[in-house]
Amino acid sequence: MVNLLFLRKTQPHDKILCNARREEHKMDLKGKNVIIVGERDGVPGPAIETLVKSVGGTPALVQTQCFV
Amino acid sequence: MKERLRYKMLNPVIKDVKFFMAHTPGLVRHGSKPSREIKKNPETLELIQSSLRSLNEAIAYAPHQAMLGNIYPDELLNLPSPWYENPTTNNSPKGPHGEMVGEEIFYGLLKSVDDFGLISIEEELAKKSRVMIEKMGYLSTDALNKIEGSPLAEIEKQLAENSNTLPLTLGTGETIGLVTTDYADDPSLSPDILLENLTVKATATMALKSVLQSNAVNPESIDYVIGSGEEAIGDRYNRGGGNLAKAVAEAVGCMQATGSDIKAFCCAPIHATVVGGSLITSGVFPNIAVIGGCSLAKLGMKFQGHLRKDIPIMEDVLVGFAILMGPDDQTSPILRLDSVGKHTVEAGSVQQKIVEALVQAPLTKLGLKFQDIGKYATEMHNPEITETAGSGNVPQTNYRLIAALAALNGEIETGSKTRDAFVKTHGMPGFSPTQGHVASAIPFLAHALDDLKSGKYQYSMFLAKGSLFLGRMTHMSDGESFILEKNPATR
Repeated sequence: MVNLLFLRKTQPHDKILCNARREEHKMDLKGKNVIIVGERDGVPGPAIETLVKSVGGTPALVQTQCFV
Repeated sequence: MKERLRYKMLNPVIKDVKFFMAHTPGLVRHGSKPSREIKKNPETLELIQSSLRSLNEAIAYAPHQAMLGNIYPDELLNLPSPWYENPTTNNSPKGPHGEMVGEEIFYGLLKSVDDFGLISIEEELAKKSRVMIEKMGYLSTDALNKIEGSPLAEIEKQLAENSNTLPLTLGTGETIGLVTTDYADDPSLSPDILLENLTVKATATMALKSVLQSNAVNPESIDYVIGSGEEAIGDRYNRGGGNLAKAVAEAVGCMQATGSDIKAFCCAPIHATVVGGSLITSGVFPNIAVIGGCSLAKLGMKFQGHLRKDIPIMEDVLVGFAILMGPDDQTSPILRLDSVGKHTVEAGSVQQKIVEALVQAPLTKLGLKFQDIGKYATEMHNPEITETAGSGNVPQTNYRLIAALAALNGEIETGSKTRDAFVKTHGMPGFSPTQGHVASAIPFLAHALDDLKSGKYQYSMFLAKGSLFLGRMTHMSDGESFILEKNPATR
């Protein structure tokens, strides 16, 4: 199964973790392949990759986009 | 043996910057996204043409008036929005920071910078364009004489028979010319790439002419021109070889100059300005011009979002700029080379580390606090263009990150109210066309020079980012920053 983790909102890392702690934002990524699309002016792909790995997910594709 | 030269270390100053804007609705079809979509579905061209703006609409568009210096960026917050539905009533194609021309003039300018017979324009347009360009007072008789027209029938015949041509049209769809190549076997010299590079040369040339002329600077006094655009000039063996800078120096008559280009995606203008300042301080080249041509590829980049919302396609303007730099003249703001911030490889992709490197480090170096900076100039892309296409408000995002860092350092209280107050005071709404490197901090430079000269504040910071990952050589981005200071001699 592939989960699409698409983080477009610009938030410092601590905020993302903070949101992830909230019940409605919780995602169990353990053992799952994750497609990661980051943003240069927000949260870049490699930063999300670090987070995904830290909770047991497997980054299947890591990209950073520039929207300008 | 000669005694070793002893250079007096000179502070570099930024004397002026000018923008040259060309409203080119007819070229929107040649933007990267529109051209790809038109190939897939030819009917897209008609949809695009029905959503283009007139020159008067583009001039009256409030963000463009901010680019030209007729309004201060903060004033945009007080104007009714959306700005595309609320044109300014008191506007002008000319302002203290630059000027905007229409596509008829621009096609003539393309012809005037074409040294290889690549562009053909129709006779009547050529005549009309030449008269209008002559009135602007920038071009020599030799350059004006290059604006020659061809019979429309001949242009249409070539377009029909020669597959190595691209049509040049007005926003109405009327064909008025073509661009071709003189070496059809070379994909690096294809008509679309040559058109892109000629638009870059034309906009940068006009911006440099403008900044030299308005400051009564003899082009022959310029020692070095630094290009900072994102174009890739060269043939099949050296795609991206570049040195647009020297081509522009020649076109402008900087006969004693040489030049080179600095490539760093959107943050190249900041890198180039720092390099220019260093060349001045070292005494290698005292009089420097940093130039950046336009980005044709980005015309109509978000057109699908605009069409979906039934609003005008707002990426219809090409922009070039030219910055004039020199040794301390006791008047112009000083580029503090000891403040330069860099996004190191080590900083990687952690946003907090990036902002620390680009914002906090320069402040620390000069012993300043976040609120000592009157205005921060960061990615200045007009949010009306990006938000309507679902791409967010890039300047606001960056300003909030700076505010968050100020809060982390205990200089402002945490919370959205203080954050928004910081952003309002030390930031501004984005007002630049989405022209890549042009939009990265540079649009505010002209306003900052005014502010620092008038004493509105003492310091302004410029920071820009570059999306290196787009070239597929690294996942990293890049960034550089510097602080401009009011000249102490004027305090």
